Amino acid sequence: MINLTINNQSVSVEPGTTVLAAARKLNINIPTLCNHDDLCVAGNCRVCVVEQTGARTLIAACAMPCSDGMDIHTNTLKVRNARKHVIELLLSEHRSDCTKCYKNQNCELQSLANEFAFGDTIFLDLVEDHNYSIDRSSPSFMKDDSKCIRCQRCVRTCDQLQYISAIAVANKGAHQKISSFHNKPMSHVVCTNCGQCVNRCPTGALVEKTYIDQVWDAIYDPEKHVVVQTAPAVRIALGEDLGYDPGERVTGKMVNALKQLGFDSVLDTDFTADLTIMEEGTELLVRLKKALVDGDKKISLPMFTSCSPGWIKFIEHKYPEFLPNLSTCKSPQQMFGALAKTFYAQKRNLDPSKVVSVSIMPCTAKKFEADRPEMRASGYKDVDYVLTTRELAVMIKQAGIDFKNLSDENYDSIMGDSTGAGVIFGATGGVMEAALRTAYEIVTGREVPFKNLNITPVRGMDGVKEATVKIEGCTEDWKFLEGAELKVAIAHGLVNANKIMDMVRKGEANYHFVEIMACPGGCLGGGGQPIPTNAEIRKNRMKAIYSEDEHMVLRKSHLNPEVIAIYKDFLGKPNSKVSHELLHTHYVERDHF
Amino acid sequence: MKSTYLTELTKLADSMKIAAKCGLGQSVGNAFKSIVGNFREEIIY
Repeated sequence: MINLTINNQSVSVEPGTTVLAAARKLNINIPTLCNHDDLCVAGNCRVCVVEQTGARTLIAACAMPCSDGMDIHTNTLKVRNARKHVIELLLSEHRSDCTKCYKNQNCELQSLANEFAFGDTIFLDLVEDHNYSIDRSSPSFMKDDSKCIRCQRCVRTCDQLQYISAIAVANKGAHQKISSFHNKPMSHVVCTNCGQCVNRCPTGALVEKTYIDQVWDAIYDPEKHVVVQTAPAVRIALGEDLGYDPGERVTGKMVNALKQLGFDSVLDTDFTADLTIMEEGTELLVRLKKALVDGDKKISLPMFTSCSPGWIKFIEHKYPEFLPNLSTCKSPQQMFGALAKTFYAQKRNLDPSKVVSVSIMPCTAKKFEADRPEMRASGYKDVDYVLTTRELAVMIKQAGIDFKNLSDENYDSIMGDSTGAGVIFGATGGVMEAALRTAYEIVTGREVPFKNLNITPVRGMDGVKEATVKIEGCTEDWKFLEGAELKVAIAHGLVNANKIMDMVRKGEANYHFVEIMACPGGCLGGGGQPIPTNAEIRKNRMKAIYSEDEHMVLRKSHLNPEVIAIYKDFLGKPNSKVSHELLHTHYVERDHF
Repeated sequence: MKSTYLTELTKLADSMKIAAKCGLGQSVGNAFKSIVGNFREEIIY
């Protein structure tokens, strides 16, 4: 152990602990900007400088490992002056139109300025000299260089967490900027729109594209019938933006709030998550049958899940030769959109051109997905507007709803019923668990052999998870699978997806079914979720997802009464012709840069 | 006005000397400080 003193208080820490972590142990607050718990040390913003007795210069607390006998002071005159100067310099190159900024009151630079740099500014304002540009090309997010402070959290996120490096640092000194390949617009580069950089940007330089006004317009248009669907991971995180601690389930309150906002029908993406399981599970079993029984060499295994639009764009860019391995199923959002303007409109006697379908997602990539030209199976744009969890919180605040004192309400019908299997789509391993619960029962007629249906090997925060399920006691139709071992793998965060893809490309992996989610932790850590995010917060959200599952009466997708009904009334059976027209899609190869 | 701004810049040079990440940043203000220290009147008037 290493002993040191910070502000005259002694502390002992493990070797390798940074001064910042040691100070936090003593509840001493050192301000930070470029530092983020999920990312490697950068030490470039210099806001966290502290004074070490005997050292020539101040040291960056986030980067300096503790050593024996250190005597640290975090609040000396030198430190205060340096911090004030750092923040004043950042502000001199930052377009401070705070009252108009989307990140107003949720901006780390703003709160630091509030502590250190109020009053008259010291330095000349250089914003006009810089010719900053705003990139609005992506349907998912905007990149405003005039608000960027070059902390490089986004660059580290894109490289370390997502293995994409769509953005990187270009130029030096005063000309430094965060740029893409050849300074191309973000819509033209390898960016997957996952929004992880948006989650970690301390200022308003990276924010999602908002469609709040368009949604209000639709709600107030008396001709329009506005349906809204809510993704599984929204209900366990929305509370964070409305005064709750991470991991609080607010499903009933959220439904009530959506009804008060004026949506004509409040429905659940979990319903189409259950439907996805029926389609995707059947697709997997059909692929296995063709490969094992018919000996069809053209069948692509392992099969990859296709629920995460960030992951879809990643594989389209980076591993296009594996596109046939992707399940052809649309994501639950797009299945819902296609059904809202066909099945739902028919049942409710509505003109599909008058139906506006809105989705609330934990995700920024979903905005891109809804814009894809393939996603017009109903003859209209299947999902008109995608809002993030954060945008919904803004709408609830705009409407003046007292969220904490709302009563719990239930989802509307039709397409509002769901099971626990649909809910766990929000956590990494959830799609796999839901698929196994259903597929195992189709094949054997019995429940999966795990206590209380909790398939624990596929749960948790490990980057790559593997599991093997032995199939025994098959029914007559599935005799060929008797004794077979179904090998599955799960990855979350594209850096882990890349590890699996690398193994698959080299032929070192013999999986049958692989679930991949683009964001750390799965959808619960998505790019549209409340800010901030860190491992602790994601763990709490995961607990909430699984407790939501445990509290459901039905926990297997094939038991969802509305899923059974829609197959009876409309779709026929899984992978039928109608299903293929509405619920399945295809993918395109994209450039590599 | 000019004089106070010069004082502010000198303070900034002091901060850079102890807070910059690399040696270049730590020393880049030295020349400026030396000029201001020795020829302050020439700069202001």
